[in-house]
Amino acid sequence: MAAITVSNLRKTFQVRTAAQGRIKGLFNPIFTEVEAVKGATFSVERGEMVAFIGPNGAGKSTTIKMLTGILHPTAGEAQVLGLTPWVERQKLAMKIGSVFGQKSQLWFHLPPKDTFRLLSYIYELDESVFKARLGKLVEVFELDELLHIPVRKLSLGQRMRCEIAACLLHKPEVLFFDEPTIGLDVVAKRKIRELIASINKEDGVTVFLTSHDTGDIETLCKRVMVINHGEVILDSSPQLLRREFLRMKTIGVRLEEEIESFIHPGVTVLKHKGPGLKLRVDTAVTSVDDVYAALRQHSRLADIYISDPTLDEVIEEIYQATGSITLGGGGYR
Amino acid sequence: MSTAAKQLRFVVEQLRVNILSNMEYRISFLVQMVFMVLNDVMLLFFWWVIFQRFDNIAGWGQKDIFLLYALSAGTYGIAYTIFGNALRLSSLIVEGQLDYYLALPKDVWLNVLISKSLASTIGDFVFGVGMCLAIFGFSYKVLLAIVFMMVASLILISAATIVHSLSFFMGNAEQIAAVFSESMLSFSLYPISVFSLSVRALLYTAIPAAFISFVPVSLLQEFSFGLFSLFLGVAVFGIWLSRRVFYAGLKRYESGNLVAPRM
Repeated sequence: MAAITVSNLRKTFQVRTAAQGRIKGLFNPIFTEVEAVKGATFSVERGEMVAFIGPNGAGKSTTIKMLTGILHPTAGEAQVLGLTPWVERQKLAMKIGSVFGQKSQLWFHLPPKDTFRLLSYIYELDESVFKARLGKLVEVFELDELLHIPVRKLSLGQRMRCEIAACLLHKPEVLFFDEPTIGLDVVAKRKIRELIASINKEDGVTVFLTSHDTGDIETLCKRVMVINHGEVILDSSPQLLRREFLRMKTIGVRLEEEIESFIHPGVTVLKHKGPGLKLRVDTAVTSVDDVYAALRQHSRLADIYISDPTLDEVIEEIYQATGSITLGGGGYR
Repeated sequence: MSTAAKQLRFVVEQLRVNILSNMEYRISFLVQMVFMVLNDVMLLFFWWVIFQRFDNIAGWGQKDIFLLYALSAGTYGIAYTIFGNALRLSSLIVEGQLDYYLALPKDVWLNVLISKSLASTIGDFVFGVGMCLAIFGFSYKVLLAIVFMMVASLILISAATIVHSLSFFMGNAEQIAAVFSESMLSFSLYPISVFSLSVRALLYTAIPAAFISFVPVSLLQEFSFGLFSLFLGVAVFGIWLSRRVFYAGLKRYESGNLVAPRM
């Protein structure tokens, strides 16, 4: 059964053209329409955990805002849990939760417990239900020591744990996460991912996630939708995404001795300066282990790092593979 | 529990959170309140100096002017203690900060307006009630004055919300709203009889400052059911119109990407 269905959803914004002179534009402004989302069509089943990815300006946040009833679409239809978000906003808000990584719902100067209590009134929870629910969330999210500290004094990771707990107080059936791990360190990211996974597994909550972090997508989601201007250009599994697009690794090494050159199948030398090398490795052709062994034949290694391509690089590759060439930064929101 | 009771519980809890948030900085909170009371007292001092030389101004004696100030201050106090966001609604619209309220299962108009209390305006309310007590003593008229302040605060908030909501339609109405608020405050602090008929007409319609101070003062001086009904009617119509304009504008809301905490 579908939790979310979207059909030809469109959102355009009117913006004043920058090319027009400021004085002239004051009296006779020319507006152009920017299409933030053009005809998004997809559906998400109940209990699914879906990543909705794309570069800045791809229409991710605008789509989420329409699905949560924050924005009215220009055209098209959408249903979340059988409700039209922008028509039945209040009714839907009782059943969904949303976390925007860059916007806080916690009161900055107050301890989280005050926001939690206020939310219990907003969601009209009985005192006993609220206490039981909060008790469980405090235990799962390890919030015991954070409850009484003003939010402004919490670390970003601690704050995000509280943000997620706040959006779960009313037991939502669908959760929208917009960049939930943005700005977090590795440990905090791992914690947040574990928590989101446990919410999905234990309560069967549908999770709709946008992120720029490949780790979020690979750890959490069984399905990935890549979008450009709100249009789904790839609907796949992270495994396929990895096989097809995340197979490239970047290896940086500092050798103990300088070498003339390094040639190995599946390896492109991106940079070679003195004893330092930056290599791009196609893991479909050769393994990281083979490259390491080949390097050791030349010299002992003083230092090494291995990294995944950034999501933007992956998306760029996807766009090139699918023939879509509009890359990030061009969007409106 | 009925829907109205749940709504009331929510409003009271929101007010509690707002005041707690202000009180996180206790000294600043107290200083703001005390300075607002002092500010109000200083304004009355100037009128006291004038009344040392004149018996009345356009038929208004010292006690009438003091009552006018008391009701104005009390009305502003109630209005912006409970509906503190009414003063910055246009910024919230332009900066796309209504997202938080739209994601919650509450009436957006109410939720936005009550989500902030201004600490200084509590001082206004304290001054207003204090002045009423000084004028009437422990009389039923003090309670009546507080009721009138509450009704007038609804008119004040409705008018402010309508002007701020213009931001939905014209992009940024912050300055217009600021000028409107100044006008409302200035006109409500003078006896209406000093103005020409055309200005008086304006003060009952486009800039409804007459309902903030003059009408309540008249009702306290000589109660009339007719005038009271008009007073209540304007408040109800004001709320209705304010909500209509706000919700019509909300359909044009464009959100935004400003990173901002909840203060």
